[in-house]
Amino acid sequence: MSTRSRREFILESAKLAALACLAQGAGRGVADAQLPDGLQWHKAPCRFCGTGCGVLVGVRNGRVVGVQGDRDCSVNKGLLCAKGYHAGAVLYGGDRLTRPLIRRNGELEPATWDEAVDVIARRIMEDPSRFSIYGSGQWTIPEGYTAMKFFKGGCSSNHLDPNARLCMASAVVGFLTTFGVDEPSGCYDDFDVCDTVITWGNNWAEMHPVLFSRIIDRRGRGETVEYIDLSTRRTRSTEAADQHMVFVPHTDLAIANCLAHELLAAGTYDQDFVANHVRFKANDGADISVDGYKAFLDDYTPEKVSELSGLSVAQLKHLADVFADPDRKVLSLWCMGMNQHTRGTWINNLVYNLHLLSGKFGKPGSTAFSLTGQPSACGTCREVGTLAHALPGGRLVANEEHRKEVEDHWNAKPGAISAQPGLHAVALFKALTAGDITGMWVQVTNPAQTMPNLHANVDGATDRFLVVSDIYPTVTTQIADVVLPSALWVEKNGLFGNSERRTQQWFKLVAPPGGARDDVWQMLAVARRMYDLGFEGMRDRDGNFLMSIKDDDGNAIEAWKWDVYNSVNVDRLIFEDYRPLTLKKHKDVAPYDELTKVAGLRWPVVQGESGEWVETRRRFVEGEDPYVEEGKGIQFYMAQAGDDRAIVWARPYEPPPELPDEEYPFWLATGRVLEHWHTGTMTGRVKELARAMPHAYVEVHGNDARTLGLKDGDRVRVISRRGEVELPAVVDGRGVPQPGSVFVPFFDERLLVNRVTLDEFCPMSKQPDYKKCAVRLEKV
Amino acid sequence: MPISSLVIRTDAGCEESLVQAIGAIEGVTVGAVKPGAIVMVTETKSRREDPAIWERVSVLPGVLSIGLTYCNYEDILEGEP
Repeated sequence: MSTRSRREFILESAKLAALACLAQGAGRGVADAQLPDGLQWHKAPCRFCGTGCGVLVGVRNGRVVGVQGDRDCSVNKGLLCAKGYHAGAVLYGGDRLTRPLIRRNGELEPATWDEAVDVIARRIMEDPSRFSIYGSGQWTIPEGYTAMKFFKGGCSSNHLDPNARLCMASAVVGFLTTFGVDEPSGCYDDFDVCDTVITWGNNWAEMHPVLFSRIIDRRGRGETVEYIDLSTRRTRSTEAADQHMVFVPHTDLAIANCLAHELLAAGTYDQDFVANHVRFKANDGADISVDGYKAFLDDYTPEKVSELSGLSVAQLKHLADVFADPDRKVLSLWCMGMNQHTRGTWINNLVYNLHLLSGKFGKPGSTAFSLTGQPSACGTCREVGTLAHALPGGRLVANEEHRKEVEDHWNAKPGAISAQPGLHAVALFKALTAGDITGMWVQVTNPAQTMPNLHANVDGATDRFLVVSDIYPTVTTQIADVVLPSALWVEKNGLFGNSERRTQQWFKLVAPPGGARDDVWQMLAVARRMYDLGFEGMRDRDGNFLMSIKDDDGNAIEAWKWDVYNSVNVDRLIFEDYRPLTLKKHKDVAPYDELTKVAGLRWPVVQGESGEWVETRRRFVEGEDPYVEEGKGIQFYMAQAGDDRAIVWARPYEPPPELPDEEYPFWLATGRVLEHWHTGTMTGRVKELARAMPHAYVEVHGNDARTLGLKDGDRVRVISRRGEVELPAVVDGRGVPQPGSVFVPFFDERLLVNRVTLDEFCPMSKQPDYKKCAVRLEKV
Repeated sequence: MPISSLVIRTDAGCEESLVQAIGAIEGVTVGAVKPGAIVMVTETKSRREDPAIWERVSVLPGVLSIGLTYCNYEDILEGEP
């Protein structure tokens, strides 16, 4: 085909893809067409945020050369955001890591895989119970499961925690304490039928733009959707809001209690729902009556909360009225703004309170939905359970029965799994710094940039043995003793689980560059080396290799050998080994082979009468969730008390640990920007994105800028009690903090704002608060 | 040359004026117009031009949202190391 006709063909394909997207239910159509010259399209979930958009990846001559939205995926219905546009380009940055590196005489030098694997195996074996692994919400499900088996089963070390501790641990504990089981009950379908959306400290126009567009598109079709942006900063999301309600940081606790106060005081709560599905608890866990709860709320009148929060009485009453209207379908959304909070668990509970009290739960359009920032924070960290206290399928290391179930499943020796929970992320890094943890293997994350209060938690850890598996050099690989080059996204097989309980599978489509290899293989190879060196923990009850991968006939395959690993779909075998463990708490994920056919399925997935696999849109709802008994309507069947009731908690307002004062008069919040994803490891390699957003900055309100004599572009020192960073000022830019507050994005490895942040965390979820600490500004 | 398509959601009644404004941007053609929606196809010299076009379109009066549906940059990526 000539260049011209090929170009015309692509132009026509592009146009047809957009037209098909407009025609709902048009299916893949164009994408499935085989283009000339070998261009083929294959399904995968997007590699970036937790939305889980379906992507069709165009591959030609062994390279990713295009992407399109998957119109068969109900998450995004054919649309992608700006990051999705660059999803292919992130594979091809010029400085991809392509061979193992070992630090010798202070320098990272090239090494063979055999050398690297041997060094790591021997170091872990020196003190396995004090060796740790720090993983990620970007781990695929098989990667997380392999890490779990390796460390918790093989090394008897529960020191396994993910970076997801930093972004959604409060949501997890919020779900557990309210419903007895983790993860959202609603789904994205609710976005299409709600009447009011309330975002609690969430800039979804930039962070989850495809979901945001669902609301905007509804308005474009003439539907009325009220949007209330409840936040501490003006963002792009605010531009679409009917009301922007700006509150004093941390007072969301009081605001939520105030709305509950109004519902109870006026008697406008859903009394049937409350009588049938809810119980009340005091903050210490004691049962209380409705009257007891009312008495607790006496401190949260609109007048008192207005004074504390900065919202007007009218704004608070409007919010309460939204929940009080029995005909209004209300969707609450949040992400880091609520979760990165020293009372993150409480504020999650308090928002559920509002939906339970108002009965705005389990009905299409009415739900409380926590968004996630990483593509498999749910699928891997929360479902596999790659957290220091957890085991697969919602089990706990502290529970003897749970440990036995997993040991039996793995054929691990009795007692192989330690009963002692491991250290959570912040504690893990403090222990590494102190020397109580002797070594760490980091995979798919960049803690030397993302941990809070870096001076206290990372700087001192450079003396420990550190292994880093990554795709590009980062500030964490700079301090590593061994660097392992990893395969990325469609360079390997994978499965993710998104925010709405959707498990998504993809196949390897292109080869990783040079000597880069899958993270799963890396762990299998090190585990096998430990076995070969005689490490007892890597032997199962029969003396065989604990991490053995078995084929469909039960025969062990030598998956630790790269050529064997490459010749078999090891992901499928690992996932099918994991899948039975998901049944215990009714998180039944679909079989691998079913997932290959579709753009994901939402668990629990059960077989229908004719053998078809059926997903669940809304949990706990009769007719939708197969585990709800007939006649129950709503049934919280995982309630800890066994009474099928969710809990309304009386959680008080509590001041934050650090407040602005005379010396440090500004609030500092950190966060993300549209152009870059997290630490910019991938997006920083895309020239177009790096050019559009080349460096971090400090957002300052115009009033504060005038007081400080600052103008746009001036250099400013942002100083806290822990450290400082020098940044250019942006005055009244794309985002505008309220007076007395500043905002700094964390993507820039040259301008590390986490030298300034506070490492206080929610005592229940152990998630640090990156949204609030006290700083002062000095013009340079 | 990167080729992309996008769906632009618009306020009702703004389609005609937006078609003119969008069509005047270099490298952009209007692929189709429907009530409340416009299909835009871009053909640019480099991927860096695309985000700039989206930004320019997103601030036009009457534009509610723009969503990417397709992109092909095979001649560029195949030429990169």
